[in-house]
Amino acid sequence: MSTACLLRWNFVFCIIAGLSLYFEDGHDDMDDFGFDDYSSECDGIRITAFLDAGQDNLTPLGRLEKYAFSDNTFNRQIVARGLLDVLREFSDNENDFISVMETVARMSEDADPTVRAELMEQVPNIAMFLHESRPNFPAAFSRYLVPIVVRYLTDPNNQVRKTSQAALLVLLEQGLICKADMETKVCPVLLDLTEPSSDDDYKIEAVAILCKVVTMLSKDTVEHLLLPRFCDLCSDARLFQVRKVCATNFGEICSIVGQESTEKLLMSKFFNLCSDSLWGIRKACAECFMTVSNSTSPEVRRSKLSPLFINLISDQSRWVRQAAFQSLGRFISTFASPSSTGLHFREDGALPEVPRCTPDRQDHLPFEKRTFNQIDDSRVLHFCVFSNCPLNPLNCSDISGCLKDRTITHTPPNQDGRATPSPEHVPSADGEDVDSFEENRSPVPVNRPDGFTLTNSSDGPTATNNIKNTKEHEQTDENFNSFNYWRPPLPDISEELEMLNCEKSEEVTEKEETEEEEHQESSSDSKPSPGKATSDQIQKVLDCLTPHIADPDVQVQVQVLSAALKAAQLDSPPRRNNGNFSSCRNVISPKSRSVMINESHDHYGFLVFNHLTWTSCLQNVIPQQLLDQYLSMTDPARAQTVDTEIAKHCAFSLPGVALTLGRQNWHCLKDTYETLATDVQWKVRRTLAFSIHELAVILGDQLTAADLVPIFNGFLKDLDEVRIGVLKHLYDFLKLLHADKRREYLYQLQEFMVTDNSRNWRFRYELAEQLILIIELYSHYDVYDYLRQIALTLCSDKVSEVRWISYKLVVEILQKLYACGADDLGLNFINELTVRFCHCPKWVGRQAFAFICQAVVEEDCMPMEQFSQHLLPSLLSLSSDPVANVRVLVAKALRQSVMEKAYFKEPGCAYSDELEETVMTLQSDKDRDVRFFASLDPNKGLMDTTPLI
Amino acid sequence: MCVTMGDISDLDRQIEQLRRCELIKENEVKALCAKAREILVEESNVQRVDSPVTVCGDIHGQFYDLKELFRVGGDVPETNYLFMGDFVDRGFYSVETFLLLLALKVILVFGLFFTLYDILSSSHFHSSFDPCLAPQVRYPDRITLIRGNHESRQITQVYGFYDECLRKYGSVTVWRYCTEIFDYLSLSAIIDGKIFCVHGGLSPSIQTLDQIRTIDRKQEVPHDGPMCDLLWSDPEDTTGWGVSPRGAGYLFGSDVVAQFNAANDIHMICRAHQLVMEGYKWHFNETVLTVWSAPNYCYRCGNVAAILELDEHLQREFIIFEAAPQETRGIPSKKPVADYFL
Repeated sequence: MSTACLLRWNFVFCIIAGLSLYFEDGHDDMDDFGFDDYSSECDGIRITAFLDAGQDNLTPLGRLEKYAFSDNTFNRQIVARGLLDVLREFSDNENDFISVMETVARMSEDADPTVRAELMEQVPNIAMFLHESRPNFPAAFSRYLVPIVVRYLTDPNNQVRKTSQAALLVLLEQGLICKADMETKVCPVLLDLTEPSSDDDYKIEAVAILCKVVTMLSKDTVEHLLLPRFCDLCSDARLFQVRKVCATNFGEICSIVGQESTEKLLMSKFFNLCSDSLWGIRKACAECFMTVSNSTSPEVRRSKLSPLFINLISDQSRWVRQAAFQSLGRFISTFASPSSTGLHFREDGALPEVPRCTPDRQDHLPFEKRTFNQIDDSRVLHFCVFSNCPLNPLNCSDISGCLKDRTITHTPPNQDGRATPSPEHVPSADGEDVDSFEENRSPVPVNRPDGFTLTNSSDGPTATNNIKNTKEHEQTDENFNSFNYWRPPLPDISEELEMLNCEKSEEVTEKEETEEEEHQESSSDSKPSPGKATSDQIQKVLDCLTPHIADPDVQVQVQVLSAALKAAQLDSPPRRNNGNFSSCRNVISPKSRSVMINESHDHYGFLVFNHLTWTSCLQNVIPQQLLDQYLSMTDPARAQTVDTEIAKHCAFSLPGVALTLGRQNWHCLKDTYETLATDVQWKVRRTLAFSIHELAVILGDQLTAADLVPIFNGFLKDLDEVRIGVLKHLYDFLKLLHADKRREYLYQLQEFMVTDNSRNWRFRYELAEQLILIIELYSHYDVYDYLRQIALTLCSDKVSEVRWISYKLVVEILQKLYACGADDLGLNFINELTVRFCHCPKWVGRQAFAFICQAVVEEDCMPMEQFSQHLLPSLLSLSSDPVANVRVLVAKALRQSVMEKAYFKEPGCAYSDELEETVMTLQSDKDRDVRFFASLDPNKGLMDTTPLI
Repeated sequence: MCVTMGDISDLDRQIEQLRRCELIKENEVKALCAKAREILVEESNVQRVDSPVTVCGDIHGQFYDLKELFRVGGDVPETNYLFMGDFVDRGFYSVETFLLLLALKVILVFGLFFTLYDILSSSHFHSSFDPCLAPQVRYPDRITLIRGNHESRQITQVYGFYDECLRKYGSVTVWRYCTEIFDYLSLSAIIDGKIFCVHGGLSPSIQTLDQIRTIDRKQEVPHDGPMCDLLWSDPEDTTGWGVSPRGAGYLFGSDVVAQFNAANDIHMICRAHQLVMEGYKWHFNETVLTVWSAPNYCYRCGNVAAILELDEHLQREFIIFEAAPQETRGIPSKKPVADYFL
């Protein structure tokens, strides 16, 4: 039963309460539809009723005066509550308006706090009304209302104060208080109230206001006026509430005042708050750690904040630990170096955009140069794989023993040029033959002189290096071939020093044809333990780095290397040795000898260092302890002692951590990622599914193929809640795969049409949206064979939104077929569409046909001649459809799109007569909407584009 | 009715606002209602509707679910709609819901044929509209609204619409404008002469459609009598007439329906008025149908909603839909929850 069992009661109620508004209502005169007479009937409700002429002879203003200062508190309250309406009534006349404002000012002195609170509640509304309706708003507002707000901040009555605080915040949010008022009127009061001698209650409230106000003020104002006070308040020994508010807002304050003030003034306060005796305060600190960290220099972050954070994460309070673990990923992300990633954090700590792989980046390059980064058949690619010996390059007498030189030739495009099998990894064609490289087995460390920095993950430097290399090697462009020519540029990760673990390398090796060059399998017997790294060798690296000590990144390395040196001297193995040491390899690209000789020295340490870190699951981007803590988040013990949701938090921030560490440190995260991907909680898997495309960009194509694709495949078979994550970015992910790999998913796309809950239509909508994008990733044959069928099914979906987006998909497919010159397939498809839609027994299908025709014309999907031959006759036949909704779309298509095409305007056009005739008929259609659209002149700009989405 | 350029652009902007679930100004409500009245006053008590049409049941102020309904069933005007009353009360957005439906009905054809997206993206389009077309293009037939038992002054004072108006406009003026329009809403509709649509059901004082046509509907819903019954009655698995536990209207049995359908040469009676968990429910061997279009009624009943799509051959298809997901419901948090951190 739905609603109204209470009807009887309702009648009784109405009568008892005397609210029988309608019984007496005098609106039986239906022809007089004037609403104006309502006001006389609802005196009990209309607040400004007291202004109406009545018992006395006063003017409205006089009556306002009378009631505003009446002895009866209730009257005064009513006036206060109705002030907005009063102002509305009087705002036309400047004098009246001023009188009302004067009255308001005097009313604000009312002795009764309820009246004052009522008045203050109206102030934001009044301010907004004035702002909208009065040109001289700022003056009146500043003169009459701001003083009241400010005064009430110190009102003895609690309710009045609270109301004024709320009003102040609203006014600030709306930007209604000018800077001068802020600085000269509001801030002084807040400073007074937060004086050490101030009353506790006032002080606590004022601190909260102060912290909120701060976020709406300029940096200068904050620094000059409020920052010193904020610092004092942070160490208010007596009132923990004050410290709590400070801690909660600490991050915001830091981001407003910037790095210098943060480090100079705020850092010591933050230290104190982080070790406050109250856990709530420490928790608040943990929560804002990222924002604080964003306002500090890398040195402070590493040397000061990191140990501080470690304290919080091992805090005795579970709540603090929980908050710290939730912040950990974000905090780690602040170590991402903009100089190496080309990225800058936004204020909220989120990255504005993930680094996109080189294809986008290269778009600005001349095309022939773009191809340079691709390999070609004639070229043999070399992966030199150093295994085992982190310090090998320092001791290169045995380099040949541990040098694994793998060669990859890429497979030529197959016959029909459809799929593009590509090598798993395309290193930069640095132009070095393996021969020259092998000749170069001198005790010179093989290294890459270009842009391998410690924190690089892909971008900025890489891109420039690409360009640089391109220039350096322009002569290699003669190696141009058709494969490279049409092939979309691959995501370029070749400029990076890639590290793969042994298993993956093997897989890769097996998959690829190794045609020439000898393999020098690394022998696992040359396996010096890291512990045996001599202090001499590390010392050498340190020496190499010394000239560059000014670079913060180098400083970091020096620190870590120094630690390693110490460890080596103590002959203790590095921590977290993963045992895979012997099987680990480093993959680097060869580089021309001269360059190597010239530059290798500078980068000596980097390479060595990477061996060190990698083999021990160490890295140098972030303090190791932070990483260790992060990796521990998947430990079941953590879920018990910290937070059952901790795995989700770990998954949530994984892309940020991965980006920060860079793909060269992926090995540190790989196991954790796999653990999370098989977590029993679907929310954890879902979180990963949503971000897997981002991770793929961070990791590059090779690691993606090796480590992410299997997990991606698992998600495809997961619950809908997980699959939606993959689906939302399906195009983004597939785009990153090599063509052959990508083709494998063609068969799986249709599986997205099946969901656990068939009412989950947004899933199918998302699929259609993704398919529109995905079309470009496949050949027209594949589109015809696989996507066409899915599109047609989606076009018959029960849900309107799914259908309409799918019509667009159909149009895109047609466009693809014609763009690829597959007119025969295009025609087949058209015939199919005609049968399916134009001859559909249901009007919805025929309406769809008209829409598709219009979109085909609008988007120039095919030559107009083809359109007029194959689609136009069917479209015209629908002009006599029995359903008006169909004819309306026909009229629109013809009038707005078809007839606007130059092709049909040409004098000799065979179809113009028929078109004209049809439109004429539609102009005298029995349905008014049809007539309207058939008559509408599209040149008048009335009818815009297609009707949907 | 004289239509001017000002009307066109105003209405258009109002629809835009209403579709965003934003309130229009009080005087705009007044103007909108005045226009709606001109249209509604012409309608019959048994409004004739042509197929294809999509029939919808109670909405009850669930604005975002109404928008979901349009997503699932098709936007106005690509699809024709018949709403069987109870637009207001219970939900949080009765004002927006009713005014949007009213605006969609009233809007002039060139505005009508702009979907939400067009309206939101094009503010330029009517600037160059040819005014000579204007007087004849008013076309409300794509959407039909009939009266439910909640379209009443009394009921809305108890079940939320009155309070909502007071809260949102600071006065009850808008409530008064709207309830005035309620009186003009048609009482029933007949699709292709075969499907009779009414909010509640049959009345013992009515045997033929012509009897309905003679009712003077322009009044508050009475406490009893044929007009009240049409809006209040329910089908019940008995024969004959029974006393309704609602306190208004009657319970009617299968024989009553068979007689009525035969007398008026109709196939079926389509009505709303009762929550059905599956969104729709057949009675009496598919001669009476209940359609309910407020998913998760009152934001807690857990039911699904349905609409009935009738194609040009009166072939039926039910579309079941759930409440609109949270992210499509206004008041978006300032920072939407991220799926991941990067």
